[in-house]
Amino acid sequence: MSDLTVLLKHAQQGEPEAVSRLMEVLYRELHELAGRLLDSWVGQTLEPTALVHELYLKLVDQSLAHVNDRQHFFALAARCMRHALIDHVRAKGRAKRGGDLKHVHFSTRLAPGVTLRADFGDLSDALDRLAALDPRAAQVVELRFFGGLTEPEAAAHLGVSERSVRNDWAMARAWLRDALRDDDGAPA
Amino acid sequence: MNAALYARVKEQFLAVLELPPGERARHLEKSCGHDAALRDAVERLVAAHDDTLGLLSTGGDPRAAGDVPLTRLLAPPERVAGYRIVAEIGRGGMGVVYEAEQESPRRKVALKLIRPELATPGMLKRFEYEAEVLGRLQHPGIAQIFEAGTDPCDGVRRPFLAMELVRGEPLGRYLERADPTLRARVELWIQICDAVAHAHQNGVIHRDLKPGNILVAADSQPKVLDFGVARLADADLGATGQTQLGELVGTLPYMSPEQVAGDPRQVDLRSDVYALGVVGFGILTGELPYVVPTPGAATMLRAIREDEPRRASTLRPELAGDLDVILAKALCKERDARYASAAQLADDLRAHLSHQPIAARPATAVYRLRKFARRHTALVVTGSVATVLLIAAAGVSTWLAVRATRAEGDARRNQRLAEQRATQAADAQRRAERQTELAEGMNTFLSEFISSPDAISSALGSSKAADARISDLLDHASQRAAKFTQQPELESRIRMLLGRTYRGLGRSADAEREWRRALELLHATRDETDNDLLTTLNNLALIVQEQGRLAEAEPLSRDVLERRRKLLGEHRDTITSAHNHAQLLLALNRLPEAETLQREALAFRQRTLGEAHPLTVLSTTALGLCLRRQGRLDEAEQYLRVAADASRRLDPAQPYGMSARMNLAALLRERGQREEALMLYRDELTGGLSKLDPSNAQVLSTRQSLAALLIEIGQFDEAEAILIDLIAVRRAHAPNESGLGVSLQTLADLLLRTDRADEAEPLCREALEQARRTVGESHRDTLNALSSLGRALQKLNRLDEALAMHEQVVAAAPRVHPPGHWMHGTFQQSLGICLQDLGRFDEAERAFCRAYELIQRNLGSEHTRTRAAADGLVKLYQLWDQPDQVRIWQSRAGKSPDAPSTRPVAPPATQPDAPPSSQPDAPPSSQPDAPPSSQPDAPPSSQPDAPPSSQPDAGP
Repeated sequence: MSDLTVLLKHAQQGEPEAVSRLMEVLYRELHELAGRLLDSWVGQTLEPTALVHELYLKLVDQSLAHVNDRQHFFALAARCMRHALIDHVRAKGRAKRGGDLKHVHFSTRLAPGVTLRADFGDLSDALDRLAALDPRAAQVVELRFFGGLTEPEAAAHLGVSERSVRNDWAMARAWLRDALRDDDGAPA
Repeated sequence: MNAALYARVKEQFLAVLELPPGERARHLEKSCGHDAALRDAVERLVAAHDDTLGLLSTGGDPRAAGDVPLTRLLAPPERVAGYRIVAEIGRGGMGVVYEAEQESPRRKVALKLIRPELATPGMLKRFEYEAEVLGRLQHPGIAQIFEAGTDPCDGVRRPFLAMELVRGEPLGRYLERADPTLRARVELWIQICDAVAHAHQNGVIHRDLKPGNILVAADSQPKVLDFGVARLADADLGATGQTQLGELVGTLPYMSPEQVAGDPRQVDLRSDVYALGVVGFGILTGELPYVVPTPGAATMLRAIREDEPRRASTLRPELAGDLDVILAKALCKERDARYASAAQLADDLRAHLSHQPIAARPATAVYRLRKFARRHTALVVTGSVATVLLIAAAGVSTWLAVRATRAEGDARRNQRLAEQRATQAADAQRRAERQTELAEGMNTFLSEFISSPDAISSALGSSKAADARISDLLDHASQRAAKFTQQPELESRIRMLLGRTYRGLGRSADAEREWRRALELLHATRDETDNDLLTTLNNLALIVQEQGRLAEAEPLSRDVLERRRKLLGEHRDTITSAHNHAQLLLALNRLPEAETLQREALAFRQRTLGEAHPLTVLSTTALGLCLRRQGRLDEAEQYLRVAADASRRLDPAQPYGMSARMNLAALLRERGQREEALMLYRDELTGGLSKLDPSNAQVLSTRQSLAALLIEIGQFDEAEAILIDLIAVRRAHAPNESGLGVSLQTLADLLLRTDRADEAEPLCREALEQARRTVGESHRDTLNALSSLGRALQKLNRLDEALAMHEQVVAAAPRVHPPGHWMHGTFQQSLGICLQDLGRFDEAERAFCRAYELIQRNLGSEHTRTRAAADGLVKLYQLWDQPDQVRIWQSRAGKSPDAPSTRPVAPPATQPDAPPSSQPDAPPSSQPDAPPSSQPDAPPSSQPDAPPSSQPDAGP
């Protein structure tokens, strides 16, 4: 059993040390992965869910992992993802384009047929502002945007009702949409 | 925004989302009051929420959209061609739909912007063509397409469609909210079918009918969206990406088996009919016709291809009957078995609502009578309940007579129903009908002769009493009608009605009298193309025919056919008449004429109804019979096998289907393929027929045929037991029908074959008497009876009397069978044997040789009848002592030339195979091999009014 798989099992049983060590590993891996992809994909679209998935396949021993492990992994990875990505993009952006982030888009599949597209920098900023006002709603966005978790999965991970997740999700989407519209100065 | 405000905003925002759009403003007014910051924030969020889909754009090739600036992706375009975008309405796999304003003409439209990545050159070309076709669709049930075009946007050509903006709610939500009555649901379904039928008539197949494509407007008018749009994208959507797979899940249950199979060439109008069936199933039951154990495309695909759809009545018992049948027909796996078009489906639904017989249902007598009764209860002439009841009672009582077991309570319920309907309908109808003097006169007439409503209600109490009383009332009515001579219009209507009622009671002669009088009046007062006139003429022709006066019926029937040809051209009613007339010609032995008409009818029905439709089976069978009667057995077998094969896809008790199989059995029997024929008869008696009453005409004729076949293969004991039973049943139930004569004669043949000629003779004479009385002199049955009597006399050694009989038969045969028919051979052979017994060998030789030639030419050298004919010659030459000839004929008889050549002199010559005495007496009319009856598309028991649907039966 690989270290990470063991770590995942322990994290799932609620050992705080295991969780933070796992997050570290995930962050490092995601950062690296994002960098590799973004270097060749600038101006293109990223799919964070695909990133997480790739990472999962790489890090976790499939034969020993359960469905629950997978869900847990995705939830954790989702929370690392945004930071890993934004850090990388900002570093790149500063180096190459003087901080202009507008041209990096990303997309994620939320459900069959529904895909998010947004400018990553704007979205990340907006998410930070939302997290200050409503941390759980921001977490729901992370889980769903970046981890591709369903409503019931997100609810299970956060230990709240599906209804709460649904409400947070509706609120967050509207809030982000409103915020992004302001940023872009797009017609209302 | 601070955390406290955020919390309040979130609370109000979530509360508002729960409300329907119309109530949101009021709620905000109330809950936010003068807190402008709160209210403003909530309103912005609600607006953003409604627009959230803008953030969640649909997928597709990321590279196609990747370089388009974010704002462009998130915000709708401001203008597209000549349209100003107002708001986004929805999204689908094809693109986004906006509400938009057209500048000229100034109107609101729904603008569908197709995803640019779908806009390949091939797609654009097809798009232009299809849009032009779609533009031609104009129907209240179809969202009309105004314009199609392409709009350049950031260098990409985006195709768009501008169409009628429908304000309504999706079908599913409408049904949940409005919860319409069953009748309203059926009407809604009909409206949807009508819309699709309109498209079909314009050559447009929808291909993607589902509740999501049907909106119901405020006035309850359904609107079908996205006609033909599925086709636009077909080729390019072929490679199923994530998006398409997601959509597939919603669409899949509405896809027909042939669509699921993925062969686009198989998709036609009937695929839409299937989808309409699934939609209808949902409208009526709220569910899908298939239950899948686990959700998912794979199980659903399997269910569509393999599972029988559920019966709707298992979900809602009140759907039992017509609606079950209609749904099942629409949802058939084989396209051919479905309705041929949406229009036919709508027709049947309308027939159901107006209590007319539906085309999908095998029309049994009971079913039709029930419809008859229902129709007349609903027809409710006016004012007085009693007048209504007369008509209702006539219908109901006949129905009761048919179903004698029906409990009294049912009859009372019917009556109460009639009363309720009468009262409800009275007010509305009184006003309308009072305007016409005609209706007034009718009312006066009807109410005048009914002394008190009590008479009717007590009559309804028991079926037997009902028959008697209603007959009295009718006779009374008929006399009174005579006083209307000054009002021919009124009298003709009354006579038509009386005729139908008499007919319903089985009083054919009285019905004929009323119709003749009605016809006389109609000729005087109406146009020659009048519908009532045509109906009455048709009814008259059928009732004359039904009473066995075929020659007299023929010009009437021809008149009906010619009038319909002139009036309707090639129409299903014309074809019904053609079929009826052909059956009459067949009975009259005018075979080539009958054949021509049957070929016409068959071609029409194959084209319009497909192979597996009961009427097509009927026509195929009828043509097979025409050919068989002309002795063209190979061709006949070909058609009868087609009919029998097709019939196996129908209900086993479907009368036309049974008739097809029984006629095939009769032909196989004639051709000597007795094992297969025997199997067909036995299958039928243990299958579809086992549920019927022993006195049912079809049961009788099938047992008759089985008995005759058993005689042919020498199983005399079983045959004799069947025949004795049959004769008893027929004497009890149908002493005046030709069937009794046929059974008597078959038993006589059996007795002759088992050397009991003394017992046979009286039976032969009774059979002959019965045949002369029921079918007349020039008929096969009469001829066969005569021939049997001849053979009986011969066996009793009354040779001169016998010879006279055989000579009569041979002389009469050309009036019955066409020249060259093998039956002439068997008559010649019987004559030959008689001559031989009389020692007139040279005459006998001529007769035998003619017999052999006729039989061999028709049935082939190997047939048992042919060999029997050769054997007759062997025996003659043995008696005559001509050994060379004996050897020649022995080989033709299939016997070793050496063996019995030295047979001692003359045991009395063996009987030839009896002529197929009890001719294939196929069901169920008295015509031995007529298919069911010449009745329109009617059930065996004929009912002169109302063939399938359009056939008028015009009420007053």
